[in-house]
Amino acid sequence: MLPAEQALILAAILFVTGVIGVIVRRNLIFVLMSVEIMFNAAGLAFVAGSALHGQPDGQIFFIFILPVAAAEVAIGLALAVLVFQKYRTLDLWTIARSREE
Amino acid sequence: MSQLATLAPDIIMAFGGTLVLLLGTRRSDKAVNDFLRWLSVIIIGGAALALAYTRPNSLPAAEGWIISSSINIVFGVIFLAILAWTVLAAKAPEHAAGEWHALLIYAGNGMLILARSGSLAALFLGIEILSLSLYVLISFFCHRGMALRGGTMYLVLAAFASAFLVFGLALVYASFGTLDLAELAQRVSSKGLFHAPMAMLGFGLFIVGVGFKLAAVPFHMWAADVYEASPGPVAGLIASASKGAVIAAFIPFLFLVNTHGDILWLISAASMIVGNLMGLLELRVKRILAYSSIAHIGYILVGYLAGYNGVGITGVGAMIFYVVAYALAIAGAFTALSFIERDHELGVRDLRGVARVSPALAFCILVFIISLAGIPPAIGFFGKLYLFSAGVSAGYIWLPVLGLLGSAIGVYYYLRIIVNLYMTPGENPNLKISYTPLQISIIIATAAAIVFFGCFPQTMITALKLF
Repeated sequence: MLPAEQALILAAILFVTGVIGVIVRRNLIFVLMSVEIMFNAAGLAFVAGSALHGQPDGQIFFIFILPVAAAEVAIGLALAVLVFQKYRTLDLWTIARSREE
Repeated sequence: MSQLATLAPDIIMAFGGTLVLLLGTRRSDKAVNDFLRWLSVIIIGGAALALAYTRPNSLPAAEGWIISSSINIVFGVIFLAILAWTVLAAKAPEHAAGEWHALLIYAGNGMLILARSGSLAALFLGIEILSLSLYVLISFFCHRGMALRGGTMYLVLAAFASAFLVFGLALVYASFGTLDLAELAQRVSSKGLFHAPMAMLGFGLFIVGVGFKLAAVPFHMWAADVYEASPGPVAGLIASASKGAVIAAFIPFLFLVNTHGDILWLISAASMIVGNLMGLLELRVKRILAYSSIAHIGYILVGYLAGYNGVGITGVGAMIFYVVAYALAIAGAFTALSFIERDHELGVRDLRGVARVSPALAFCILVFIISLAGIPPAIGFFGKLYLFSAGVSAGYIWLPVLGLLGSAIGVYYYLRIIVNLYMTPGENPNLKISYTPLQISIIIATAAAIVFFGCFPQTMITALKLF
């Protein structure tokens, strides 16, 4: 079994990966994926924390993170479809710069 | 059974919102829209009544996730009132009134949970329910490119910030092993934070997330674009109730002032200065209000730093007072401005001639702006007075000074709006103002309330049973 401390370190690595992904990537889909990685890193940290303290609260929290992250991405993808229909691109910088109305 | 009584407001809001959503799927006409509007108001009112009749300090419900001490109840009622106000004053889109009202009610449910959260999990859920509804509300008129762009930008940044927040909470949980807020505060004070670097980092990430939701400097970049992109009443809701709800959820973390006080001090000072300076450079009205809202978060944080210190009026009490005072003015201002129809972004010059076409609307906007600027007799003056006096008595000297300086700078751009509003116009033939009698009477009533409470602030203090 993985010791809880190592799981926490893995969670931190995943979180930083997600942060870098959001900052570096310019495509909306990939940004959403990176955010998802960050959420799941937090979930992993919660599960590790609950193993560390031997109580189930953290695992319950993880069950709440899952649907929230899913809802977040569902809205994000719906917006992505609309954005692509309007701008024919998913590049966030291009979208942010376009000022035509 | 008593648990169900405590949870009644949330249950009413959740089921009521879904009911409105289902009824709204029919092809809407004006009668249906009006029916949905009043149904929403009844649902929100029912929830507020259920909340107001919860006994303070009754048993925590749902494993301690929802608590109801009197401060939680006061906050909850305030947010529901602002929400009902928004439902009444907003112009619901004709093609999708059901979705519009349902989303507003869901956002209210999120605020309600935030205002009464007794555990980290409830806090997270509340923030997310609120944000998820706001994403859709911001980009509701998605045929306009700006709304789509603003909604997408807000979604990406807010989800990013939420991830910071929840990872911070995870680190806090891993260090202290509890989700319960009261328990957490106890363990933090007994163990001390300085020996737990992981928890320090966790709370730091948590503050980043909260700072973003509040649009405090340096996490403010989204505010101007998003406010400009969203429909007026929604912008008002984001600026007033949603920020107020995050503030309410942040109050149980007052122990952070001991460890992260310097960071909060910096955030508060930077928000007051940067918000007001950026406002000077802006010529579009909604963006000006966005920067002013950044500055106002700085003022509110002065009260937060003062905590339960203060002579007569504690910092927390002053914050509650200010949240109400500020919400009346900013929600009113955004909604009133949304009555002025433009096909492009509303600039200050577009306000010329409003006073001649509709004196009542212009005067109401004037009252809102005066209240935001903190000029008596509007209520905003007393809000600032209480915040800063609480700050002084808690031993902060520079923050109130910076706040006063910032307000003085702010008067300039507030005056710019007022001057354009009342300036005798060169012809402004494009000016179109449209509102229903209900909308304008609500706006007038709000302006009247601002002046009334500004003249008799004591009535509001007793009404809120604060101090």
